[in-house]
Amino acid sequence: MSGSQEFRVRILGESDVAVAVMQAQRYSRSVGFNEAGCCRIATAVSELARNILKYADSGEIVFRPQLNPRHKGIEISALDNGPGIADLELALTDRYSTGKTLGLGLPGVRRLMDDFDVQTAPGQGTRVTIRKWL
Amino acid sequence: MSSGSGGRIAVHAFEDFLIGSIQVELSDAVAAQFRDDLLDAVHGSGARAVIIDASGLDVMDLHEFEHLRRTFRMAEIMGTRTFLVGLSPGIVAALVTLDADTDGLETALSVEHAIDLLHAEEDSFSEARMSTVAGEDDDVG
Repeated sequence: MSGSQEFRVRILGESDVAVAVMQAQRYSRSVGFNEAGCCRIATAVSELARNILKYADSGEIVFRPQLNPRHKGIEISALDNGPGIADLELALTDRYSTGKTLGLGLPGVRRLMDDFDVQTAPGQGTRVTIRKWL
Repeated sequence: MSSGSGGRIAVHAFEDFLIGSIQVELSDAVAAQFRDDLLDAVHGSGARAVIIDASGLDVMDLHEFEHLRRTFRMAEIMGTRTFLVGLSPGIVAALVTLDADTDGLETALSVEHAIDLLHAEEDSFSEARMSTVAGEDDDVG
């Protein structure tokens, strides 16, 4: 029973981060997340949107509410046309393990969500997909 | 104190405190304006504490939090205490999950709680001072 809808927010400037955050709250609420859940999702989206601004010319946040009653939640992708992450392993490393981070905040975003994956390659942009389930 | 673009966080004097309420999105421009306004207000008023109310915010990410913390650090260097109040449970949970540096950050549930705390400290300071002065007398209880 797909027929899932997709909603995109283009990230070109700082004001788009606020738009993405508002939409994240809106879609999370419509799926049925409580306030704390909506806040976690929106915060993760904020972090990802800021990364797009910081490292790429442009990108987008794609919201895919998952409304299948047996598996309700939300999937969000942050895509950009930036330089890609050269050292993905380092990017996913917590401060606690090695004392250094790449400053992308990806370990934090991963902790905020239930599922997390990154597709990236030097020169090929980056796609971060996060999911949270009710 | 009219705003230029997109809003500004107004800071008001109350007793010997400065109180500000974040009602707008903490964009870089708003955060920078707030920093400048707050430092001017601290400098001009000699307030002994600054209380910033974040209860109007649904979301605060690490970037915005760190902006605020830097501003607080600047105010502290000028000699005033700073309180961040009214953070929602969701925001607190997210910030801690993101490993935000909360070391040394003074907080309270609300503006009222912060003011009560500051009054209570001042009262106990005055009492301590008075009993030190009176300490020489035999029959002071």
